[in-house]
Formats: sequence, C-alpha cells, structure tokens
Amino acid sequence: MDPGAPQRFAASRGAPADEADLIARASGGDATAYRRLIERYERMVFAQLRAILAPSGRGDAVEDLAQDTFVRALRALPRFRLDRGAKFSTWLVTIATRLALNELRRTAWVVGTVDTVMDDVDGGNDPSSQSRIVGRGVAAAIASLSPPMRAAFLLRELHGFEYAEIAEALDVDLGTVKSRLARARQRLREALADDAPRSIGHEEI
Amino acid sequence: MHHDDAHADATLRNWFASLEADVPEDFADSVISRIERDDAAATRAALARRGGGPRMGFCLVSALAAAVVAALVGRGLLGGEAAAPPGAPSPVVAWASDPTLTELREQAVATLRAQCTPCHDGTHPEAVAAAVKVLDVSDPHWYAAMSEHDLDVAAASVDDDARSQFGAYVSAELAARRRGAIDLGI
Repeated sequence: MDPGAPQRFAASRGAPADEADLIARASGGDATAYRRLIERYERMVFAQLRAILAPSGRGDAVEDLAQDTFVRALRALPRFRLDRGAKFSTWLVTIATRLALNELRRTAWVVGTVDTVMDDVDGGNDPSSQSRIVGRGVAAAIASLSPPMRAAFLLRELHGFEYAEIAEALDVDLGTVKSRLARARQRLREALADDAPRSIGHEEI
Repeated sequence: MHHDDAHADATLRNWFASLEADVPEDFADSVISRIERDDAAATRAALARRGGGPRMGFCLVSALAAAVVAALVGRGLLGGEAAAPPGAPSPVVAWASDPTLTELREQAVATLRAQCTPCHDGTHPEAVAAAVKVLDVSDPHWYAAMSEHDLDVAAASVDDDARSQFGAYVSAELAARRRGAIDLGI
C-alpha cells in the first residue's frame, strides 16, 4: 500500500454517479450504454496509447488498439467487479497499456523523438504558447524512456495507480516497478532541469 | 504540495491532455459495429459446430472461408454441406493429471500452437494480422489478451481430443480472474 499515490487523471478520479448503472446495462448488451461508456473514456484511452506508442514510432496503431481496448473491456464487463471497488477507467487504462506494450514487443520499436509525439498530437495547440514549449520538453523526456518505463511512469504519475496495481498491470514484480519509476523520474528531472528547477514525483523509493 | 511538484504535475497533466485530441467522431460506432460483427461470426461458428458439421476452427481464415461458402450455398451456387477446410491431423499434447494454472496455460497454449499455427502465431511468416490480434501463441502473456468470449470460442474450436482438458483450463483461468478485485484478465 502506498498512500502517497498521486491522484491526477481520469483513471484516479471517482467514477461518475451513473457508472454502475451504465456498466450493468452494458453487461447486458445495451448498445446505448456501450456508447456512453466509450464516449466517456475514449479520449483517455487514445491519450494513453499515444503516450506509449507514438514515441516508439507506432502512432499509426493507436486507433486500432483503442478499438481493441474497448472491445475487450466491453466483452468482459460481466466479470467486472464494481462491487469490489474496481474502477472501469483503471481497467481500461490497464488494458490499453498492455495492448500497447504487446504491440511494441511484436514490432521493433525505435527510440522516439519529440517530433514523433508532437506531430501526432498537435491538435490545434498554439505553437507559440509557453505551455506548448514546456509540453515539448515533457514529451521529449517521456520519449526518451523505454516503453515499459514509460508505461509505469504514466500509470503512476498520471493515473494514480498504486505500485501493486502497476505490478499487476505490467506483470512484473514490485521491485521492478519501483526501480523503473525511480529511473523514469530521474530521467524526467534531468530532462526538465534545463527548463526550470522542479521535481517529478515525491515518494521515497 | 511543494511548488515545484505542483508545476511538474500541471505540466504533465497539460501534456497528457494535449494527447486527447483527434478522436475520430465515429469511434464509438466503429467499436459497437465490431462487437456486433464478432457476435454474428461467433453465432455462425457455434451453429455450425452444433449442427455436427465440420470443425470450423478458431482461426479467422476458417471462419471467413466458412462465411463465404455459407453465402454461396444460400444463393444456390453450391449444394450440400460445406467442405471442411483442409488440415493435417493435430499433434497430441500431453496434459498433466493435477496441473496448476500455470501448467494449464502451458498445456493450453501448446494445444493452440499445434492447432492454430500459422494464423495465430505472430512470429510465423504466414500469420494473419487480424487473427494474431485475438490470439498470438508466440506471446508469453497470450491468455491476458483473451476475453472470456475468446476463450470460449477457442475451447469450442480445439479438436475433440483436447476439448475437455482445454475446457478445464478455461474454467481455471476464469476462476482466477474472478478472484481478483480488478479483473486484469481482459
């Protein structure tokens, strides 16, 4: 248990009030409920896949794998244990992350560049804005991580997964999770050090 | 929270938010259509098996071939029962008498390797990309990417000699998944 787990992004926020009802209806094959769940989380899933795949030169696989993520999750909904505190968003992020890493295992991944990421996700941002410049710094730093390290970092820092959840999601032991996170944070600190003095994460490993 | 941490958090959050752009407008439709197509294909395969017809097989190539043949029969272009896809006799896989889940997985994937290669073997030059997406017998975590539906289809598709043991594996796999607070078995 690590109570200091960051609580930052969609997967770590509380589920919307109608989530249990939507999941129950979708479990029974209700297409309207399917649609509501997909539309609620599609952006998060696309972002997670892009964050892992684009730096390795596989941004082209994002849409297919996003589709795979939802198909597998919705198919398996009858086994989803909402009553035991499981969060649908956490589950989706886990599936997306596993599929992305499986995809990269199957194909030779390349060490990415910031342009690979930003070209894929430019999305109308103001190219002159300070946030975009800083965003490029973060993108470059994350692109420099290996895919497994990148995945662990994203699950922890953006989705608020606990160490044990990351270990289970990535099928590695707890020690591996901690060492990957420590190395990832160190890499990020170094990468961002030129921009301004700041830190990533704050737990003792 | 320390100011530097807050700044780094905000930077990360903004960066991630920028990755959320450009989701296709019809994305939900495409997912729902795929689920409906998969359901229809699974139903056709199940009906063919229950009818005592030829083993349809788990691989998508077989399913596709069967669908084409069924369509031709329906239009009167072919008569009688659809012919079985050609295939060599499946090698026999030995199953342990009192296996653990890990052993069951190993035995199950050995069966799948024997019966579903090359279509479902991502390392094989003749692998079928769509088939590998459902099951890749070369992936050490092949089972993790299979839904309950996929496992059921696989159990119904392996040959008669392996079916009961494979069914035992599927039961053990699903039981293990149900024990988890978060079902990571996907």
